[in-house]
Amino acid sequence: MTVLQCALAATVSLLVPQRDIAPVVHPVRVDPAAAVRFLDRATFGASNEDVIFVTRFGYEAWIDAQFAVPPTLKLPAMIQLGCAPDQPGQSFATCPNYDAIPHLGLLAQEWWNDALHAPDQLRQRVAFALSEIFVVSDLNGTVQNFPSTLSDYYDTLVRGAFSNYRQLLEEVTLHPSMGGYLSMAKNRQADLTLGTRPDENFAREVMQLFSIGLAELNADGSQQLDAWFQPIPTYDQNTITETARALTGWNYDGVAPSGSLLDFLLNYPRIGMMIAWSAFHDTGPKAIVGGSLLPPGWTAEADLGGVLDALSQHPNVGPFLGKQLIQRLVTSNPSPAYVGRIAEVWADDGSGARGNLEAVVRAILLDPEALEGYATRPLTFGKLREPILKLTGLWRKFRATGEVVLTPYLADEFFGQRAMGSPSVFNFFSPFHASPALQAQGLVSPELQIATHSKVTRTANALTFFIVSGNTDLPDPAFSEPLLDLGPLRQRASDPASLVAYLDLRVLGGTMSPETRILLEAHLATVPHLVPGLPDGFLRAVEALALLVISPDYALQS
Amino acid sequence: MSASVPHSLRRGSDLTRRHFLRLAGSSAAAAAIGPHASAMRVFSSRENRGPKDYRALVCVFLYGGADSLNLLVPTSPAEYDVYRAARGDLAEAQGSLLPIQPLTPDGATYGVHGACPELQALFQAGRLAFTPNVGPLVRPLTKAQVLTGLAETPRNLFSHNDQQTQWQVAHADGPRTTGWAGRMLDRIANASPAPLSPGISIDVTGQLLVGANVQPYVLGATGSEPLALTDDPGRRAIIDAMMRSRNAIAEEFARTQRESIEIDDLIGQTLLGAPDFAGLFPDSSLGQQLRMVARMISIRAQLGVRRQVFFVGTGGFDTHDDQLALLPLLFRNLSRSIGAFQGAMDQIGEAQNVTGFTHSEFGRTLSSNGQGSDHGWGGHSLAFGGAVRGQDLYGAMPDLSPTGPDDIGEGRLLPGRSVDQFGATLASWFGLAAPEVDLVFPNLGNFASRDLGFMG
Repeated sequence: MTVLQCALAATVSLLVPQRDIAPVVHPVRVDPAAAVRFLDRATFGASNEDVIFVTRFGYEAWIDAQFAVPPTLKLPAMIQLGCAPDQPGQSFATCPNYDAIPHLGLLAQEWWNDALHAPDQLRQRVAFALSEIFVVSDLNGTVQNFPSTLSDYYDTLVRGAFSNYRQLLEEVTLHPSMGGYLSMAKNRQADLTLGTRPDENFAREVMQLFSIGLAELNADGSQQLDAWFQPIPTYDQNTITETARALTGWNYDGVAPSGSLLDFLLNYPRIGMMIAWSAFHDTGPKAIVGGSLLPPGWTAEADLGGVLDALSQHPNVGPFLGKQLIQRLVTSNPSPAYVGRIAEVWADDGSGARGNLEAVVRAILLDPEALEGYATRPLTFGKLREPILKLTGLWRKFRATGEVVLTPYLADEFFGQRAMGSPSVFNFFSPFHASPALQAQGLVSPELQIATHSKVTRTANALTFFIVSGNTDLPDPAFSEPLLDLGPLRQRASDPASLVAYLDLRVLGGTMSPETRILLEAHLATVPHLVPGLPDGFLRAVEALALLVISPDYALQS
Repeated sequence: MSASVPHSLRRGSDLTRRHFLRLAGSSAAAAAIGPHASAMRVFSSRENRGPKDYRALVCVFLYGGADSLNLLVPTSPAEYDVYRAARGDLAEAQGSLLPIQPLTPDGATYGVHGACPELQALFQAGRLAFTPNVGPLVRPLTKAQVLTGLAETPRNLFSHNDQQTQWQVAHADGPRTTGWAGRMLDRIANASPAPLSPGISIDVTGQLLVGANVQPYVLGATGSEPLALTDDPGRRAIIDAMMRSRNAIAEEFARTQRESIEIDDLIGQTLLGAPDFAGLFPDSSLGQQLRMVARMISIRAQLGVRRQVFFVGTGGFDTHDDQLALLPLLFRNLSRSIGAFQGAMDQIGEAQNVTGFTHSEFGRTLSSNGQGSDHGWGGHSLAFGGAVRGQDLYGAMPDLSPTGPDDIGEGRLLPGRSVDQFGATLASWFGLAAPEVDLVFPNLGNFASRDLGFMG
């Protein structure tokens, strides 16, 4: 946000009626270190402007202002480039510039630029978290061949980040990218002549991953146990078979539904939600999750509504997905009480509405455990920064300007991670991943699954490269990515303690360990402050920042 | 510019490192750090305990659940007709299958998928064996026991991640904390010189190599890479000291980074001198992972390694959709990669010492959903290498008829033998005595045969 936007947003937020009856004046002073920690959870990296805003007006005003910022979308740019039609259902053949593979690259660049520069940071960060739950990946051929459709899928998550879960689940379910990815598109009722039966793919994963999970949960996220102390499955193979039948008869928009199997099978993704082809829907009765029965004769739309209602009403959804959103934004190991508080908001936002994601996001970020966990449970609080967020964080904290042109496959090579490019619907990492040492302590660290020996070194070397070559003081002429402004570091470089203190505040939100502080200060004292031919303090600034971003201190988002 | 970035991060043309050396005004001494100390450590760590010879296992994990029911297919008319009826539009054309002649006759004839001439050739040369219809089991089961729910089946059957874990853990009703290869390596003294783990995965992660003591080392398919900032000895000392945290999660990151640096010290330079098998392997992820395994095996004597288990994997096998187009590509890549790997082992004279095998979370439904197949249970695994008693099937082929004794619904096959038996067969060859094999596979005693026989 620009300073002007901040001021406007602040004004708007002061006009928003408060929930309490007594008007609360909010000159909440937030400590700058706390503001950095908060913003590292809520954005792609705490920018100077946002830190100033939060310190001056408080967390809630910042969140309110963010809710008011219009979404930054990716499809409009794809349309402008001529790679997507501007009407739902229209054929890509009408686009002057349609070509899948380069446009996949453009989409990846849009992702980086929005992460770096979009004003709706909270929405973008939550959408990224949602993209790691409602996973669609461009490694799938159908998804890969329609990058504009994929851009619209990501936009669906951006638009839906603060909407209602039931509504978002339907938009995800019927989106052509998801239809292609988990093959619900063209799923049809059993065909006795050909000996085929419905496709179970989406029916299984919508339950295991997008809604309720495998085991019955308590409201605090812990597993319910049966009389033999075993977890209780939420569904069995029969439920999946039946749900697969309920989800038959959907296909991409653009061709008028008919009874022709050939038409049904030859269709391909465009922009626009999937539509029902009634001739291919299984109209028999189905027993779905939680013992609900879908009566015979229901349409594809009615059956879909029945399935999504049953799933979104299931008591597991709040603890199951609420905990994963906490893990994506705040901490890998939230206390059961924290999960319980979020599940409560999920069940009822205060106005009786269930699955209000705006209320859930607000509650996750403002929970006392989110704000104080770094101090009250320092040994276990926090999460590993995702590899690509290490770079967005670095860039945003040091005012990097300019467009990102990093190609998607370079991001893979540097970081082992690429938005919308996970290896499977199980995301880059599992919410349950733990190393043996963590397992012994009852802890998980999802992001640790991709912090492998080869990748931690590769990522560290990439970050070093981005600092050394990509700064405004001494840019490598061949370097075309955004440039870091190291001025604030150079200005403090004559005094290593002051330089390290600034890094602690600005990069780590005041969570630097005493050991790291001592080591950095000692090392910087051995690095010359003034070097002929280099800007004053340049060498110390670069040394300090490079060492800090490969440290375990920066690895942890606390 | 962008295209040259990854190259610049590699050893030898390291832009980052050059920048730093230039900027920091480092002397040549800075560049001399590292590799030399490591060779000393190799020799000093050699002890007399543990195996004297060298053996390695290579697990190829087919993520997504491979449709192995189309990899090994009956071709004799009666059996092919049953197969064709069960698979419908998913059936491979009889004429497209590449014939193989198992040494032990079972009344039928067989072929492998048409995209797999390398597998056919290895089978016929006696260097590849199939284990039909294997999967996670606690104990042998009948169809009636499964359908009535009266017997214990592995938890969350047909779920990708659960069954991936079950294959790697090979203890279907036990804790999921360790993998069978990790437990096996725990029992072998001096398998590999510290800090190099005897369990090495290339790019992929999973439980297979996790033991109580052994933890996997995850190497990139392009090799080991030095941490650029460690080139200056002063900075190296700071980094070594800084890679610690009191926070449990940050400490796991720090430990991984420490190990990455230490192991690069040990193997980085040696690996640079390894044969690169140029042009031998396909340019696929699996091909390049197996190439790195071959390169690591080629330097095993220099490093003083006696026992190793490698773990590689490739995805895309979850063919619910578009199976007819995708499966040939997937099998082509598998066959070429395995063929190339066997060629590399021949080249470096390690064929007798190295055994490869496949795991995949489940087989698939025999029945079709109109575009592909869904999650099944039992599937066919293969083992390959010079020590394999190849050219045979180890275990009865399942009955492929719909509603037959092996079909528990929609053509999901009840496994005829367990992952535990498959793993135990490999563990015995690897050098574990029978009591140790029982400790690694606690449910092995539930099954009639503790060795499927394909390792002689």
